Amino acid sequence: MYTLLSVNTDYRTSIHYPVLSRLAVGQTLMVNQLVDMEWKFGVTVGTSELQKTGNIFLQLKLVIRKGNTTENVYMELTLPQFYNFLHEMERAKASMDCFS
Amino acid sequence: MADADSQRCVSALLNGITQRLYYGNTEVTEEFLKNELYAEMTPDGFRALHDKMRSLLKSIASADMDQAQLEAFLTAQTRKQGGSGVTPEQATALARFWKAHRTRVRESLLAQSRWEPGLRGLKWRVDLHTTASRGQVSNSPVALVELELGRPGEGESSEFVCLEFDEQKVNLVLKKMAELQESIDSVVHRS
Repeated sequence: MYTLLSVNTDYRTSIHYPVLSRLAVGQTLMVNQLVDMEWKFGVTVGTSELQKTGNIFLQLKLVIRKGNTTENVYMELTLPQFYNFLHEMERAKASMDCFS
Repeated sequence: MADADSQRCVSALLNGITQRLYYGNTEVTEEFLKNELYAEMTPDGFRALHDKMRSLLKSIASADMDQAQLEAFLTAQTRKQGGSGVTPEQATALARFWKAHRTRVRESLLAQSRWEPGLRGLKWRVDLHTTASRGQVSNSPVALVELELGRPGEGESSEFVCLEFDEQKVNLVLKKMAELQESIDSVVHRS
């Protein structure tokens, strides 16, 4: 489990507590674990509301383990959203590298 | 003066229609617009005007008309006989309105074409596991990432998904993102 330092008020204000899924007693406390990530990328050429778009679409599917089952979370990102996601994951990795 | 007032009312009507149709402001109803702008008009008369302006706006937005296309379109509309065309004041109001709102309306339509939730925000923290209730000891860092997901529309609420990544998973995600970035670069550089 996390040490007391991890489960403190800072934790609750920075992460939305109700969203965390906690497993039953007897297993390690964990939040959802990422199993896999899939992506799809292309160009939308037209829609029913806009005849010509030429807009990039970027879809991510995150496969998450929740207990004994997995769940898929889908999202569709703009390019700025993708680059922000990438940038933050790189920052997290850099932070982890300090301790590994 | 009457023409200027008429144009102002048409502009306000177009603005109201756009607020509801493209900017997600559902409070701007047809009834509200009639009461605010055309209180003296008969209900049928207002409905006909409202529907005509909405239809024209949708045509213009759907084609994302540039200035030349819009001019040709509006000229054709003013030449229509009977009540199906537009008056010169209405055409002027439409032209001015579209010039001011084209970019935002297009952005709204593009956002509406994304049907899955987008990534509105992201927070993370890295914890260093020390002990576990079962006595395991570990010094491995773990990243907790909170994704804020939401569909387009300023009024839509967000969904929060919290994920845990060990180092291996972070590397996996970064590797997949690098592959995705390569794909993006190949398309962007080709175009």
